[in-house]
Amino acid sequence: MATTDTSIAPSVELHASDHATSGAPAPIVSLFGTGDHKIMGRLFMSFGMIFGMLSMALLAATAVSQNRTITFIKSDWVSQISTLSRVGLVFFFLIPFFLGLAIYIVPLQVGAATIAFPRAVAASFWTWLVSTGMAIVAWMANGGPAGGSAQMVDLSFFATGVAIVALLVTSMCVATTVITFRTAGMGLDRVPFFSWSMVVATGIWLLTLPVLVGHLVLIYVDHHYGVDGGSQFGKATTQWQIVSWAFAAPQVFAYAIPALGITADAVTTLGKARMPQRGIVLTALGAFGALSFGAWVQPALYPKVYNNWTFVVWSVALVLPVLLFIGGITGAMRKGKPSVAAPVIGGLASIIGLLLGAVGAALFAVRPLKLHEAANEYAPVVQGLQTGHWYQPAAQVGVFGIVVISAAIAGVAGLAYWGAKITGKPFSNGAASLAVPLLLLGAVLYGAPLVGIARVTDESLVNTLSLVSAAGAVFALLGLVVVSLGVVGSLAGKADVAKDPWNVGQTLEWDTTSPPERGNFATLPVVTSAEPLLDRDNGNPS
Amino acid sequence: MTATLSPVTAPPPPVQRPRVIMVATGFAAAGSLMMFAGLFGAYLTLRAATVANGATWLPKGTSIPLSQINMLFATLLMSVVIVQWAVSAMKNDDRIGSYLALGITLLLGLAFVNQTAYLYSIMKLDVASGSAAVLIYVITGAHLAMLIIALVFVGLMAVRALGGSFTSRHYDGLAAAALYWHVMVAVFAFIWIIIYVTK
Repeated sequence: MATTDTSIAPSVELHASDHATSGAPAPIVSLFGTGDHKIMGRLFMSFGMIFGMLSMALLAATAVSQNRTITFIKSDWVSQISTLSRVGLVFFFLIPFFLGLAIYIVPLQVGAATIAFPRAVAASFWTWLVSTGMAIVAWMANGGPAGGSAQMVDLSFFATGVAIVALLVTSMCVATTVITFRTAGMGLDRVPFFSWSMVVATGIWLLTLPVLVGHLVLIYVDHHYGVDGGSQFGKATTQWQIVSWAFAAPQVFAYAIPALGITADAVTTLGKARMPQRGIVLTALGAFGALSFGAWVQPALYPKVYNNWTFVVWSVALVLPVLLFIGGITGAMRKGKPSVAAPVIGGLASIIGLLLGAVGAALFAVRPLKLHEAANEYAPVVQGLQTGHWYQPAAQVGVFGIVVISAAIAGVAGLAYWGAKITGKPFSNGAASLAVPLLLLGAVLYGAPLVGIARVTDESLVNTLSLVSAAGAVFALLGLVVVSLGVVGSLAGKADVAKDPWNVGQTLEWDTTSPPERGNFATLPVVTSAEPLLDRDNGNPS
Repeated sequence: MTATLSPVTAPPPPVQRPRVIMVATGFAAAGSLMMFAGLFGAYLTLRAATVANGATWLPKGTSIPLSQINMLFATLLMSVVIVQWAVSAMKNDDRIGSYLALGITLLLGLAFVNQTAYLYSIMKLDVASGSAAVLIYVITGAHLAMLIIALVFVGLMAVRALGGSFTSRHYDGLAAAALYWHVMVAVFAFIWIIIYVTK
């Protein structure tokens, strides 16, 4: 099967289990050669979680290093560790994790036998994994923005660019699956919330991340071929400045779009009722995605962009779709009575975190508050003032932390919600229930002090706030560790789970075995609403 | 004697799906366009700032002959017509015409690569000479990469066409390759006006 082909027929899908009976390649060969969306989804999620823990640990280390009374990291390493933690949290953890979840769940939600272009997804995964490994090695070998080794700096930018391109190819496959593989009767207005959120998210990623790839190429070419480390793009002092927009509001919200879809699905299903304001929730999701388009906010090219009224209005407006979304799911919670399960708690905690992040971003944009200016010599610095490198305002880094960790909470909620479907074993709700408050505490403690730290003039208070921020990152790391242990514990369990372990499933993924067999579905109900399983259970024609 | 026909259950009609490869190509094309939009934004902003400061944008001694650029553009404009001819021919079951058009498209693409290489050799623009040079090489180089991707795409579809994969009712792959080709040419139209004409 060519990379550009997608077989709808389940019979041609290649599975590891086939090889055992056919005498064909060994399981390890099957793993490398498989195009099974379920295996690829699990791989993306697993490696994403590993890289997530690593990146979160680096985020904590960066936060500790802001405290000037503690010599924790060599000063010339601070900027590299800081940038690696942020690049890692987005491109090695959050996006791959959500894509992995989508690769597994989206075909099931839309009633498809597979993902679109499964070979392309497989190729993208291995490309992403290898290039991510290369990027991390390059960073650790004195590469990354403002690194000391010219070759490793080149390699870090090159590998990061390749990793992003691989993620974009996978995004294209996920979006194409939702657009073209929906079963009969399922219009776009009837797709489950998570699938809808992935269409919005992958659309925004496909429209913004190529801009970042272009900037990485600019930096690479200038740094590699330019004289004295390059001209305007490749110099150590400007490398991070050029790409920093991808790690600041509003762009950072684009990485959290799937969080809304996970929350809406979990709240609706576990509320045991149809979503009453479905249109509002879908609109809020779309508006949130549109307002997270951040490729135009580039302080490196437009130094006065933060003083631009468009930026101010845009940043404040970002709060509205979050409020609209909260209004939508509140209706569902009133109509039904969601059980106090980890997916619901996690989803709601994630939305609270995102609302805090949106408020933080709005405060940053309101000029009289001057959160983008420094009232002291320490506060605005989150990296490398000592070496004269360009800094990113602390408030932006705080918002970044809140949003990314909040999105990670939704990831945990997603694991708790679909974990049994993915692993075929009962998922540990206890681990998820413990991880969610740890992560929420981590998001607030890490981000909130940084949002306001620029206006603090007392040095000892700045140092204290830095420690609080570091503690937040440690809590978030603990949350990820706990949920990872929960996944491992679940895999060790022996009990199998039913098709619908919640017994209240509304969407098609709950109409197939856990985990799904080859081809995903033996038969599919005809979809006549957004909740086909409820229709069937109520005796409506379906 | 009348024959008795036993009732036969007709097989269900195949599920009508939107054209998968066209949708995916649309996403890929949108992503490619955004990358160039970002680079053009950087180019125009920095050029405007440089000129506003009274400095010259292109380094001294740079020579970009417009006749060479126009030939490049003309080559691609011809290819736009030819690649659409390939699709149209397949749509009308004119397989020979489609093969011929695909071959000419590939030839014109390779001619463009050759002409661009020649242009680079006569421009007298050192990549290390500053932001303008870096931007010009990155933008035109990225376009060259896009053209090579389009060439591979068209080449693969040509092989599949030769293998009989496409018919007048099923030619999505060919149409998708043509779509990506058109977008690639559209990007060059912007390069032509932004970088070469209004230098």
